[in-house]
Amino acid sequence: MGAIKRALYEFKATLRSKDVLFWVIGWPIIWMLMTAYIFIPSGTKPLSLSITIIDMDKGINIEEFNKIANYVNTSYANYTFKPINFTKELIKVIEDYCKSKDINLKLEVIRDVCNNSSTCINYGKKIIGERDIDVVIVVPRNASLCYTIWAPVRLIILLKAGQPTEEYIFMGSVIQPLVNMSIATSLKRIDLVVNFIPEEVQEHVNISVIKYSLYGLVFPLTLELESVKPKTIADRPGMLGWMTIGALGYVAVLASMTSAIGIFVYRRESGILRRLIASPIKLRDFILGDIVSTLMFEGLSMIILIVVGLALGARIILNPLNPLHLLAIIVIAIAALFAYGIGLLLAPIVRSPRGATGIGVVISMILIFTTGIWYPPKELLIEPLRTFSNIFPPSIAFDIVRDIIVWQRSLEYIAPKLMTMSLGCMVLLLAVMMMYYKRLERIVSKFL
Amino acid sequence: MTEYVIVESISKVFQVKSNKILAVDNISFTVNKPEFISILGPNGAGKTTLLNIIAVILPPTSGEVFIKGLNAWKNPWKAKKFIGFVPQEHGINENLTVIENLYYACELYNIPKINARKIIRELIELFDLDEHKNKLASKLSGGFKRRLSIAMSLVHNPEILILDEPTTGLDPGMRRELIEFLKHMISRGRVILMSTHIAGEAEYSDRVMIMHRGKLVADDNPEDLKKKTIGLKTIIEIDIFPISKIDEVIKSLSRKWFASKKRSNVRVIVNSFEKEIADVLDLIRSCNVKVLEVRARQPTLDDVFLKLTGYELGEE
Repeated sequence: MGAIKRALYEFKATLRSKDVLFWVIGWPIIWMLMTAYIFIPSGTKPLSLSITIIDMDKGINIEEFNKIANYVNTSYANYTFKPINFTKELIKVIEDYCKSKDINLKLEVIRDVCNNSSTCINYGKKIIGERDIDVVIVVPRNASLCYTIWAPVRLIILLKAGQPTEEYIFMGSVIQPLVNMSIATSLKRIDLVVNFIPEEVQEHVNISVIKYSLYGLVFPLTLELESVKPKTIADRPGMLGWMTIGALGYVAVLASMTSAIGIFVYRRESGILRRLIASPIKLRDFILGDIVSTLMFEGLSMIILIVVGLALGARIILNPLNPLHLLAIIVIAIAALFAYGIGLLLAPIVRSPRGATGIGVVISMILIFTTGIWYPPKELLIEPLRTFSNIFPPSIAFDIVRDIIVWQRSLEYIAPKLMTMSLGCMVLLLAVMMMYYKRLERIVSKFL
Repeated sequence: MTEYVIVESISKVFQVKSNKILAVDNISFTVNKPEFISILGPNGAGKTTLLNIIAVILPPTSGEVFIKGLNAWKNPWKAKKFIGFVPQEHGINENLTVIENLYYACELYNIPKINARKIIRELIELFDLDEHKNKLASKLSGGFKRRLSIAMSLVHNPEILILDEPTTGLDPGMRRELIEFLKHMISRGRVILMSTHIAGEAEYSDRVMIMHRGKLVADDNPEDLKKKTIGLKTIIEIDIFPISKIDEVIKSLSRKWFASKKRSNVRVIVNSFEKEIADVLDLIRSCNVKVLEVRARQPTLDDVFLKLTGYELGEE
């Protein structure tokens, strides 16, 4: 009881400390605002795509076409081959695709700048480097003729690759319409071929089977793609919810660790440590009071951050009547205690308040940014860090909290994580108890 | 009658890397009546360590401390109830108000709220803190912070009040006021144990313990200390020119008197100013030195410390 009353005074004093208020409440709010309005601004900005087509194609020459048609079989050729301007087809396909995908397309066709593939590629590379062009497509000299007589057309595509993500976005935006064009053309050609089969032959064969086997000949595999974004970036409310929980993680780790690391040195500077030790309160009670006041302060800070998160549109569903949601609160408290435990292990080596703050801030910052507690998400961490974050209890704890209050997962889903986290906490608790049990007075006397 | 404090052969050794530092060296004394005791010594003499041991804050390496008959280090929780401790650094929470700090102190001693209210009212009145009671401690002047610090140490009405360099950071007026207040506390039946490195402050106390390099070199009331150490003698302080010859002058004077250097002055202890001043000045002049000013005064605890240890207070 006494520890709680003392904790209330400590809590009151902490609330009046401007530095602490900034770092534990102000700073995470700034981060959340930055997340909401800078990192993931509301409303989606359409993708812009700038394509330049270097057109070497001379179009279809009717004499050349007739020569080939006569050579193949006049009636078949006249039935199947229709003169087509490849570049025009290509432009139409790209424009239609971009329109359907709400992509701002800037398309330009240039001619007579090069006379063979090699010089065109060099020219394309040059203009990608010099101008604001994302993709260059080089259309070969005889593209229309090849396309007309069903010969393959070899397109050369150059992509601007300033960043890996940029390269993939441009690749997808260009390849998809070309694949669509390729499929549509093939299907049209198969239909034409099948329809050309004379009626007397059609009586003896199954035309549908032939048609489908020809489809299969051209496309042994048909792919159906659906983009599924990682859960952390599935939508804006989810992302904001994810970041809000990250901010709670930041508060739990930073406030607990800094408070525990400085438990003795902060009070030594003001003489409070000597006053405390001179009084009849037991040192264990003093540490308990400190933990309670730290948890109270973190609780208040977290409530404020959740309110800010909700105001920004975060998806956070907290129902005090739901036992799983109460479990989330307990899990946060355990994560905070774990961080406090790490702080207590480090406390004996710290000799000044500045050192305590420095070590506390540095270690907590490293932990929250490398274990998926705040940012980046675990999915974006390198393998060793991802492995570490999967066994680091506070990281697991905030995963569990996200699972519960952002993604509404079930107890079965979180149970294995809960087990790992509890095990990690027990190991640390044991280490702290081994270090402090019976040695507390000796540790504290080093600070006098 | 139970003695207030018995200190028996207390020693404290600190291990600093591979070196052992003897901070308190086999000190013993007894306090058996309410009195104002100053522990006088320069910085590093071991005063704070000794007070920390008596206040049951820091365990001794050897020796025992008895507080009101209780072995303090065997019954720390009971012994601590007899002691009020005022740390050098105030020991107040600057982000709490005066009244909140006092309530906090009451919590440390498990004083029920109903009693705490009465005690705090009395302390606020006693320390003249009424005007400031709702101010944050950080907004108080050094003097009021010290008053609050002492008031916090008195919430449980201790019989022994231990103050570690309580005048640090106070101006001379505030220092005098604080010492007067502490003297007043004895009339309430308390033992005051105060450390200081300022001899002038120790002059006001009933008993002075002089510490040097961890040892207790003297323990008596100020007047007896002066009499026993220096006798009924006079201190003469002489300003000379050039100052570069001061060591030569002191060497000459030391053949006949106790002479020492005090900053840039020569200090000589004589039996009779009237009879000996002429000889002293002649000897100084024989060193080809000009005498600029001569002052005579009664011995102080500074002189006692010098006589006992060979060092000025604050010299080390």
